[in-house]
Amino acid sequence: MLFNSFQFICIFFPLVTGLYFVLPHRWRWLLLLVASCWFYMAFVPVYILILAFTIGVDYFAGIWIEASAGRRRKWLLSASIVANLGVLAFFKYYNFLNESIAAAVRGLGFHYGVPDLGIILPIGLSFHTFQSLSYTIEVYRGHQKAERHPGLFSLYVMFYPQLVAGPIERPGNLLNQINVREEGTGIRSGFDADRVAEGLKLMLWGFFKKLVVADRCAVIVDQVYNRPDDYGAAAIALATWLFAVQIYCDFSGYTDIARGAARVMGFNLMLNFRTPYRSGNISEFWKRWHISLSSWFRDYLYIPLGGNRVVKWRWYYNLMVVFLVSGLWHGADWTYVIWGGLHGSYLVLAILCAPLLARITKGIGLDARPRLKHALNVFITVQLVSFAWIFFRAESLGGALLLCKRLFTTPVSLADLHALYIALPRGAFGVTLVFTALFILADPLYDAWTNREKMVPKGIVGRLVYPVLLACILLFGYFGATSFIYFQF
Amino acid sequence: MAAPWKRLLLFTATALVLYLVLMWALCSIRFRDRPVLFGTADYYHWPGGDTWQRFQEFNPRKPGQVIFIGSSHAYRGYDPFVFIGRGHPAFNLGSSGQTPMNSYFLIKQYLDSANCALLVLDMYDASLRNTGLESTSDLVENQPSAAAAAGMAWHLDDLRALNMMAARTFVDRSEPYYVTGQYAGKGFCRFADSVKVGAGPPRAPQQPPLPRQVEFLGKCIGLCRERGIPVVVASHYGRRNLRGPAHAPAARTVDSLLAGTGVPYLDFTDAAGVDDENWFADNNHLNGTGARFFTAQLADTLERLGYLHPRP
Repeated sequence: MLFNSFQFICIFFPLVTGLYFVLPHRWRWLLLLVASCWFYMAFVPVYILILAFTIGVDYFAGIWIEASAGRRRKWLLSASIVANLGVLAFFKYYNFLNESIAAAVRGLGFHYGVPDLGIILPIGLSFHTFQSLSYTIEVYRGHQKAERHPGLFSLYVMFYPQLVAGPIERPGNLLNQINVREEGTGIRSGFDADRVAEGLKLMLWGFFKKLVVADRCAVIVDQVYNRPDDYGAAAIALATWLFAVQIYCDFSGYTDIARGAARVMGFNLMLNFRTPYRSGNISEFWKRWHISLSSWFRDYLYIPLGGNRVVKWRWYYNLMVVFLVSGLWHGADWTYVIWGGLHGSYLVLAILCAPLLARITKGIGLDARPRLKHALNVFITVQLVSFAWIFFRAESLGGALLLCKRLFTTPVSLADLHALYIALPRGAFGVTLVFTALFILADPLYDAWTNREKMVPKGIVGRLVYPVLLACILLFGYFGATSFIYFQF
Repeated sequence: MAAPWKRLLLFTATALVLYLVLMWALCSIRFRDRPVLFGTADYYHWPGGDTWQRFQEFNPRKPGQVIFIGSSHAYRGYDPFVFIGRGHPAFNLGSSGQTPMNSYFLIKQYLDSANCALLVLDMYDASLRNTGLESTSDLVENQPSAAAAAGMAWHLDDLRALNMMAARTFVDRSEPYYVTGQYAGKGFCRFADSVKVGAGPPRAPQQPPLPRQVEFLGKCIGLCRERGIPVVVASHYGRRNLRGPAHAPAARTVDSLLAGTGVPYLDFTDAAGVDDENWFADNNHLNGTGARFFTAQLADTLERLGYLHPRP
């Protein structure tokens, strides 16, 4: 079920939320679990069995790990990791691996007849696998008590707002809000009009980002990326910048709707984005972009590999491994691996070039003008991130390379943009650019409001913000029942 | 702090007022002599074109007309002047992308047993697979009945219909922004060009019909029977690419829907002797010559079946 569907907005969400507040607290977990099953089964019903397998494995793994010691504990954790990653590997990476081997074998002139699996990737598989894994790892590390109630543990893995596209929660946050004994918090929250309003406002902001900005940007991006031969540097650059906005609004819009829906019911899901395109370098970008995933990789892969407390070459190696795996996590294709590799390379290069850059900035007097320096850093970071997005968005590796080639070899011309304008449906170009510009201005402000760094304006202006958002969604929203980009992961 | 329901009410009212003010502004501010609203999305239809012309000309008080209704196949393929030449008053209420859902509300609003001696409901398989967005946008803007517009908009099940209705309210529709040169009168558009090349092989069957459109096709038949309007369902000549297997699934759907109703399905899609090169304006639509030949054959069939009384 899509958040931007009639079914969710008009039936599922009001019904589940209404029942949630009517039911006694002790039955709420059951309602949310049934609702989460309904939500998930709206996609491919039979895939609920995969979730059941993951839940079953990690439920028992958690209990047994807690009750064990020494090598047995390690073996149980390994079994949980193998089972979780095995499911992920089978459904997500089998075809990719098979096709890669086939290409290599055929390249050597041999026959290769192992067929691909004719299966659709279970929606949100990478998200709930990682969420479930974080539980067994935390139990193993002794940071989390094993959950004895199978229903509450199932709800931790399946909680519908963040089931298919995150944020990837940790048991210390979400499970402890599900299995809570104090009245007035988590699943035992009462109806608080201010909190409900806050959640609904967050959802509205998410819908605005998805329907008015992301889906409108998608029209222009698709036009260029589906026909790279037809366009030159100007159109490709514009489409790439717009894709940077699209993927941010699409994914953070989803997160806002998820966090808002959870907030209405009294849950606090973790923050997943903090205006990432205001980052002054790539390292900061990853502290602001998909925070739940980057912190997952930091805690469960980067630090166990040794993090930065190792010799330099090993540090660079660790960074590259984390980002290549992160690329592969996003999708089973070489384009995602290259995307991750680019980000890893950016970080390694930034470390290697730091002394040189420091000398240059000091030499040209940029250190004396910190604002200008920051603006330049932000600009460069956005360009680097946007360039990497080409590989993320392109239909294939060949397509990505063609886009890069045309981006750097064709002349920049207004005629190119005019051709794009002509090819787009009426209203797609101007309105998209206007709302993208408005969004770029409004996003930092909204971030400051919601994180209490700035006060929401009082009086008429403050009261009009959300009604204006709703009016804009109705008037300028793109209602084509489009899915969310991150659902495919 | 006000009660939650009061806050919700205030919020909704404020959003509604803002929406209406914004919509009014977008409809009132003009750019290149057109309301800027039309530049914000491609689903808004400017007032004008053959649908506007058709409904300006249509007189629901004229008795005993043969009415053709349906998608572009109808208004480009059923020539009312052939029927008029045979002594049967006729008018074409077809319009671009019209689906059975749209036809239902037009029949409901405009037709009864007094003004309609026979309704010929064109059935083209694409119209059964169409959500009706294009036609609803066109008809909401270009036909005069607010009730018909509201009915279509409601049954579109799409928030864009809300914007279409608001635009209908705020945009001045007294004069058309453009007219269709091919409009020949009596609701019919005559296209002179022909494709002049042979058609490709029949396409593989497309997606299945939308259940909602099949349901509305049934409702159209039911409404006609309820109002005592004689009705037939028809499909005009198909080019080679639209014949046989390309058309069969839709034909089966219509056949099963009409089974037991007594309403005939006059399916000319696979008719013999059709000139693929000279009777079609494009892959899909008859040109003026094709429409004349087809409509004459249709009139002959209707006279033979007793739906029309031949001129003495």
